[in-house]
Amino acid sequence: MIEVNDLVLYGKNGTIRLKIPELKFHSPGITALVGHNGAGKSSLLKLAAGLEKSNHGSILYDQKDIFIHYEELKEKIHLLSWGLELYRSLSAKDHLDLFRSICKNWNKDIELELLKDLSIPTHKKVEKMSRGEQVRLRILLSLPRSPKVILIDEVTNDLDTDSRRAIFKKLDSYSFDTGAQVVVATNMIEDIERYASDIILLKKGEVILQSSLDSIKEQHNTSFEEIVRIYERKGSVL
Amino acid sequence: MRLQVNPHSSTPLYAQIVEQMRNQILSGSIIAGTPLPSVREISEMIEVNSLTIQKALKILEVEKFIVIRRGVGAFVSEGIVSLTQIQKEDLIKSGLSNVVSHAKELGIEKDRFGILVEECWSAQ
Repeated sequence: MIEVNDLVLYGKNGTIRLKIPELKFHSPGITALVGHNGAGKSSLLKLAAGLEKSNHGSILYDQKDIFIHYEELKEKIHLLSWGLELYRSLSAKDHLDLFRSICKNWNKDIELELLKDLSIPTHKKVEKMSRGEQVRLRILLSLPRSPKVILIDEVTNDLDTDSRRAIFKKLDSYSFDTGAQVVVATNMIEDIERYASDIILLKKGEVILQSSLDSIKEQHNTSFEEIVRIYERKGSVL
Repeated sequence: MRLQVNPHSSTPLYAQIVEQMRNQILSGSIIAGTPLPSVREISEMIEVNSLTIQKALKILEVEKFIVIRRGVGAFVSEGIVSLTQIQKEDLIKSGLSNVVSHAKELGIEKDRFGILVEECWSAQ
């Protein structure tokens, strides 16, 4: 489980980019990280992947500081974002050959299932692939390595509904079968309503709401979209 | 089994699923002993996360509408007596009376109301 303690991250000019006293990501299931551009979603995911160091406090995975234990944890915690690229001149098949030879615990069954269900062209070079195909390839290269945590930074946002649904279905069943935690930064309301069980709402670097989607609806007797609107206007916990 | 969920609704998805399955079991449209699709199959079918499906099935199990046999799957409980025609009609009447009084408040005529019912019926 990922746990945030007393975290502060400064941006340029000493502005506060993130300030989170306490936060726990519940597993299994998909947690949606919601908030406007600049709310701190990407920063939080980068910190959780151990790619950045906070100015104060820590993010832990199973009680271990993720930044300090990066080498040990990077196989368990995967981050999918646009910054981390695939090899442009290689095909899906080339990538699979490469990953299979490098990764010791490669799960062939998961690979075959994903290849079948995500319909990824095996011989097309990455540079010729659509964004949707590239995202699906990244999922194909991630899940067979049996990650315990999958962090997804907005990469699903500009894909069409069918592509997004196919990806969420795979993330959901992977999480359900293995108990892995999935955190997706997204503002696509319908994806969240269908696939997320927990919500974390960020505003200007602070967590203004964390709850299960069911209890939000039960408490406020209104739709999720309306709740997000109310909270963002108020800017603080009710 | 027919499930149709509305993710935008203020009713949680698990509650929508419980309600629809309960009604279908009570109305006799899913018969006692019938095996239900797996969590994964239902999840794929209605495009809703697996935890929600699991939660709905657990509630139906606690309420004794279904039986979950480990490693085998879920089944509609034996011995559930489906509603009689009179009970079904009472159930509909109680829901309908709210709609009728609402229609009266809004000044909708009886004949016109009948036409609206007709339209809704054919639209589904």
